[in-house]
Amino acid sequence: MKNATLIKISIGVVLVGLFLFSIYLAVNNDSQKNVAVQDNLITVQTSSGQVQTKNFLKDFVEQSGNALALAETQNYSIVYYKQDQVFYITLLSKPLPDALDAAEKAFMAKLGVDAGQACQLKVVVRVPYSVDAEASGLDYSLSFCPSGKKL
Amino acid sequence: MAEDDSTTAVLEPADETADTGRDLNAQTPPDPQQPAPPDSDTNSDKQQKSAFRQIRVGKDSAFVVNGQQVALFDAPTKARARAEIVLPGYHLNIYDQVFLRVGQSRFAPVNLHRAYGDTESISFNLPDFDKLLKEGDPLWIELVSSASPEASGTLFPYVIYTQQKEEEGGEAGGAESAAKKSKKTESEEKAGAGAAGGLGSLAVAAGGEALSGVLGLSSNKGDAGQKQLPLKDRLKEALRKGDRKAVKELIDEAKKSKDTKTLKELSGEYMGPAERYMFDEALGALGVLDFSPRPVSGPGVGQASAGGGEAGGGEDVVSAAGGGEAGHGVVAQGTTTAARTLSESSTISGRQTLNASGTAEVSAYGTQSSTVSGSVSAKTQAEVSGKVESKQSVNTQQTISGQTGGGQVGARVSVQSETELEQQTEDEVKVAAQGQTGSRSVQGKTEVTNRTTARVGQDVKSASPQPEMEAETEAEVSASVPGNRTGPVPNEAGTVKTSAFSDKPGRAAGGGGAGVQATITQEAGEGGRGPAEASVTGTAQYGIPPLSQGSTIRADIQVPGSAPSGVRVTASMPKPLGRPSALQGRIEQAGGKSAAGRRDGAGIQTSGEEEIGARLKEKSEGPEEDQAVLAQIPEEAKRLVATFKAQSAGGNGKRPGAAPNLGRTISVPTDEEVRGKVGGPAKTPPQSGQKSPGLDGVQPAAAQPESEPATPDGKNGPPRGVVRDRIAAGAGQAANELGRANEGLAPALPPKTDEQPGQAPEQEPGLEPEAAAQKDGQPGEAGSADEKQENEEEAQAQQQQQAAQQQNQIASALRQAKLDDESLKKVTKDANVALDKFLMEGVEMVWAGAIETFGLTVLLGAIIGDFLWMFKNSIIRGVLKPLLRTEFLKRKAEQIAKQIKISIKVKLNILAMNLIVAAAVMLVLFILFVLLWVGCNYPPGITRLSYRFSVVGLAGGSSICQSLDSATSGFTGFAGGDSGGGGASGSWACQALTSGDASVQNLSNTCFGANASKASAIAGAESGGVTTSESSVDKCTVDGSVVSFGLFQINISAQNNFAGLNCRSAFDKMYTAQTKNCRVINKPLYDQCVAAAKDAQKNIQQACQISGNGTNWSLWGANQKCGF
Repeated sequence: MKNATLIKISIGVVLVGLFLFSIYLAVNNDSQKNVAVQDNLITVQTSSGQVQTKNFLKDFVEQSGNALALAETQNYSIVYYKQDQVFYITLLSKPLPDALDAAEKAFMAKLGVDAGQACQLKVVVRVPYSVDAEASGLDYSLSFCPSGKKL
Repeated sequence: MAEDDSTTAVLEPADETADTGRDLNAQTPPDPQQPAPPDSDTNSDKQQKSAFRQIRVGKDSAFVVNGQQVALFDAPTKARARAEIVLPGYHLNIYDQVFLRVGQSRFAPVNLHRAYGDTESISFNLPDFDKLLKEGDPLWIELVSSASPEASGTLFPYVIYTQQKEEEGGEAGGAESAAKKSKKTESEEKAGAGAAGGLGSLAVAAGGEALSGVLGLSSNKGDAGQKQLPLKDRLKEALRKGDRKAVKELIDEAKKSKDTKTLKELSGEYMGPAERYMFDEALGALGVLDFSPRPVSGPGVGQASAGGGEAGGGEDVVSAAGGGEAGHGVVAQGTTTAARTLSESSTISGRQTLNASGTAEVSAYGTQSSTVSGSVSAKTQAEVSGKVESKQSVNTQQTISGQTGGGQVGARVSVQSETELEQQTEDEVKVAAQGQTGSRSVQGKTEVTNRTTARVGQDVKSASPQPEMEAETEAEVSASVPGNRTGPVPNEAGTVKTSAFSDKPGRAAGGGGAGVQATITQEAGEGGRGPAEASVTGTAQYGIPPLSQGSTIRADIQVPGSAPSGVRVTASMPKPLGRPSALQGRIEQAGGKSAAGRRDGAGIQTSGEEEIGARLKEKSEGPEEDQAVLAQIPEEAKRLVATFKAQSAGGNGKRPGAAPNLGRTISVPTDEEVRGKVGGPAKTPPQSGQKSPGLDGVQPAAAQPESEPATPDGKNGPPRGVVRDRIAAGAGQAANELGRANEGLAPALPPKTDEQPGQAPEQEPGLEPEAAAQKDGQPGEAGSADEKQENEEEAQAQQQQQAAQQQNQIASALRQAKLDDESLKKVTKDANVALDKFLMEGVEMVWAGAIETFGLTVLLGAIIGDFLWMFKNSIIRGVLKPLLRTEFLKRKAEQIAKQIKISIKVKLNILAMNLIVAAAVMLVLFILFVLLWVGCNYPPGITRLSYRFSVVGLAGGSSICQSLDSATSGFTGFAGGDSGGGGASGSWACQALTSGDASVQNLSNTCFGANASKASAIAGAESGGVTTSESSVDKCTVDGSVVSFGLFQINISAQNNFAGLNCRSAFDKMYTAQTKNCRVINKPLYDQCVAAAKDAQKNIQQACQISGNGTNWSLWGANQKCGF
C-alpha cells in the first residue's frame, strides 16, 4: 500500500473521529450535571454553573418513586424528579398568574434561591387540562426567567 | 379524565325538561312511547356496543337547515331522500359504524362521514326510502363503536338537516316547495304537538309521490293542545324574534321566580357551546347581556358560516409623470386600506400600479441606442391577521437614445426612463372563527398597506410631485456608445456612465436641468493622426439644485494609439458646481505618456468649456531612450560631473591643449555615439583644439588647484608626472563617484590602485614636485631642453590617454546603465515567463493529483493560488530586495513587482480551483444535511417530539435534530411531520415532556412504544407531568373524594381492574360527567387505588390499556386540545 493511500486513510479517520467526538460532546453536554448533598445544602450542577440550594430532599410531603412532591396546595404543586433533576410546578387554580406567583415564591423559599439562581435550574410550569383547557399542554417556565411565557 | 365505562348502547330520547346532549352510553331505556328498534335491546344486551338514536323532535329541540338554526316551530315538515343529516355532539369519533333503522329494516347511510378528526359531528345522507316508509314512521339512528366498549359520546339534541336542491327531487321538489309554503304553520302546529306531547320523533312524512324520499316531522304523542312553554323556550323564542321587551320580561320573570336553572341556561351552563354562543349573542344584541364576540382563534365548536363571502379586491394606481428639469426621480407611495368582511377563508386581491416616467439629459458621445434592463426594489409590507401570501412583480425598463454630434465627439443624449411597477397582491386571510350553529358572519378588518419605493431612471423629471409623495431617485445608466466619425479622427468608442443621486425628496420641480456634460475635443494631430479609440468615463454627483457641495466631475481618456498631436478633454457644466468642487481630467496614452489636470474652487465654469486636461507634450530633446536614461541620473551624479567639469576647466585654463570638449551640454551617449565617437577605449586621442567626444561637460584633464607651484620652467602647473597622476586620480575618482552616485546604473569603476597601468600613485602631502619626481625615480635634473620637451609631450600623451580612458569608462558606465535598464525589462520578461511556467507546472500538479488525493490538491492549490494572487507584489518585493545591491535597484523592485504578472491562464485555473472547492464544500454540507435529515426522521413516524428515537437521536444527537429543526423550520420543515392525525397545531398545542416520569424517553420504553410522544403530550396536558397529581375537579360531590389521579388522570371510579384492584367497587357509583354525586364506600380499597394511580408505572400501564397502546386518546379530555 502506498504511503499516499495511508495518508488519505489517516486523514479520513481523523476527520471521522473529530466528527464523532463533537457529537459525543454535544450529547454528553448534560452529563456533568449532578447533585451534591452537603449537610443542609445541595449543590446542583447546571449547564450554566452551580446552584446551591437548601436540602429540599429531606423536606417533602409525598414521594412516589422518582417523584418527590415538595409542596402541594390547592393552588399549586411542586414536584421534583430526582433522576432528571427537574422541578415540576403545576398550577391548580385560577387565576393562573396568581397561582404561578404563589408557586414561584414557595419554590424559591423552599430551595432558598433567588430569581437568578432559580432561572438556572430546570423548572417546568404546567397547567392541567382540568384546570384550564386553553392553558394546558404547554411549559410556561418561571415567569421571571427569560424563558418564561405569559400565562 | 372523567371516564365512564358504561357500555349501554341505546340513546335515551330527550326528556321533557332537559335538552342537553346525552351520553350515548347512558343506560336509560328507550322511550316507551316509541317503538323500540327491533333488535336494539338485543344489540345492547349482547354486544353492548351499539347506540341508537331515535331522532326526536322534542319541544325544545332544534334543527339546523341550510346553516340556519331553526327552532321546532320552523322545523321543516318534509325532506327528500339523500338529504344530509349532521349529528353534532361530543366524542363522536369513537363510533365507527352508523346504521339507519326504519321499522324492521336496517339501512346504511349514504356518504357517511364519521368523525375522525372532527370529534363533534357525524354526517351522512339519507338513503332513498322509497316504498319503505310511510308517514309517521320513526327513523332510528344506530351508532356503533366496535372498538371501544367503554366509549362515551354525547349527542346534541338536534340534528343538522340540509335540504336537497330542487333538481334532485323531481316531483319531490314540488312537494317540498309546497311544504315550504306551509312550513310555518305546519311546523308550529307540530311543534305545539311536540311540546304538548313532550317527545317527538323524526318520522317519515307522507308527501304524496315524494313520500319515499321525504322526511318529515311529526309527533307520535298526539296533540294535547298548546300549553304554556317553559320559560326558557319562551325566552328563546323571544330572542329569535328579537322581541326585546319580551326578553326582558322573561328574564325578569326568571329572576323573580328564582328559576336558577333557566338563569344557568342563560349563562350557558347546560347549553352546547354553539347554542350558548347564539344565545348569548342574541342577548347581547338586545342589550340584555354584555356580550363580547369570542376571539376568532382557538378551537371552534360547530361551524362558522362564510357569511362574509369573498373579500373584495381593490386597485390602486399611483403615478407620477415627469415634467420638470431637475434630476430627480419619483417615489410613489400608496396606501391601500380596505375593511372587508372576511370569511373563514377569504382572498384579498389587490392591484397597485406605479408609473413613473421622465427624461434626462446626458451629454455623451456618438449615437447610442441601448436598452438597459434593471430592477426596482420594492417592498411590500402587509399586516393581516392570519396567513398572508403576497406576490409582486416589478418590471423596469429604461431606454437611452441620443444622437451624435458632427465632427465633435460629444453629443447630447436623452435618457428616457420609464418604470412601471405593477404589484399584485393576493392575501389569503385565514380567520379561525368561533363556530356556532346558525349563520354568523365573521367580520374582520384587514388593512393592507403597500409601501412601494421605486427608484427610477436618472434625471427623471417630476412636474409637481404631490405633497404626500416622496421622491427619491437613484439611477445608474450605462450604455455602449458606438459611433462613426469622419475626417482625421478615426472611430471611437467609449462608455458614458453617469449617476446622480438626490437625497432630498420632493423638490423635483424647477431644478434647472443640471445635466452632466462631458465632452472630448480632439484637435487635429500632426499628419492627421488621432486616437484610434477613446473612452470617457465621467461621474457626477449633484444635488438640489443643481449640484451638491463637493461635487466632482472626472473624465478620463485613454488613448491607446500612437501619439496624438493634441488631445484635450474638457468637461463643462451648465450650472455652477457647489463649493468646493473640482474638475479633473487625465489623459493617458499608450507608451506611458500622460497628462492630468485639475481645477478646484468654487463655482467652476458655469458654462462653456473648462479645460481640465493638458496637452501631451511631444518629446523634442534627443532620442527617447537617452532621455529616459538621462532622467534616471540622479542630481548628485550630475553635480559630480559638473564638478569634474569645473576641475577640468580649471586645468584647461592654465594649460593650453587641454581637453577641448568644453561647453557641451550633458547628454547621454547612445551606443552608436559611444562606439562611433568614442570608438572604444584607447583610441587615437583627439588633437589639441578639437573637442573631445564623449562625456559632455567633462574635462578629461585633472583639475589643478590654484596654489599649484610653478614648474621649474616658470609655467604654472605641476610637473608632468604629477599632472599625469592627478589627471588619472581625478578621473578615476570622478568616475567612481559617478558610478556610486548612479547607484547601479553601472558597476562601480575599478578602484584606483598603484598597480593600475597608466594611473599615477597618490601624491604625498607636502612633497615638493622635484622631490616627488626624485621619489618616482625620475632624474633629479632638468636635463636638456629636448629631454624636457620629450617629457612634456610624453606627459601630455599620457594625460590624453588617461582622459580618453576615463571618457571610455564613464561612457561605458552610462551605457551599462542603459543596458541595465534594458536588461531589467528583459529580466522582467524572463521572470514572467519563468513564473508562468512555474505556476503552470504547479497547476498541472494540482489537477493531476486531484483525483488521487480526493481533491486535496485542489484545495491546496486554491489556497496557495489565492495567496499568491493576493500578495504577489509583496512577495516579489520581499524576494527581490535582499538580492538587489543598490537602492536604485531596490526601488526598481516595486516596478519589477508590478511588471511581473500572473498570467490569465493561471488565474483562470486558480478561479476554477476556488469554484471547485466552493462547490465541494457546499456538496459536503448538503450531504451532511441530508444524512442528518434522514437520520433525524428515521424510522418513519418520528415527529418533532420524538427525535430521541430517531437514528440520530438514539446515537445521542437529538439535540442536533432539534437544533436543525429550529434552524430550518422556517423554510424547510425539517421535521417529518407530526404523525398520528393530530396535525401540527394540535401537537404543538400539547408539548411532550422531556423530563420526568412521563417524558417521551421514559414512555417509549413502555407499552406506548412509538406513540410515546403522544402519550407524553397527553400526560403533560392532563396532569402537567406530575406523577402524584390529583385532580382538582374530578371529585365526588358527596364526600369530596378525588377520583382522577396520576400522570394520565385515571378515573379510578371507572376502573374495575386497576393493577388488580377493582377500584370501581370502592365507590357507590361511578363518577362521570353527569354523575358526580358519588362517594367512597370502601376507604381502604380507595386508598390502595389512589396509591396505584399515583404510581407512575401502574398509571402508565392503565393508560396504555385504555388508549389501546396510545392509539386512541379520545377518552381524555386533553385530547380535544392535542387532537391526536
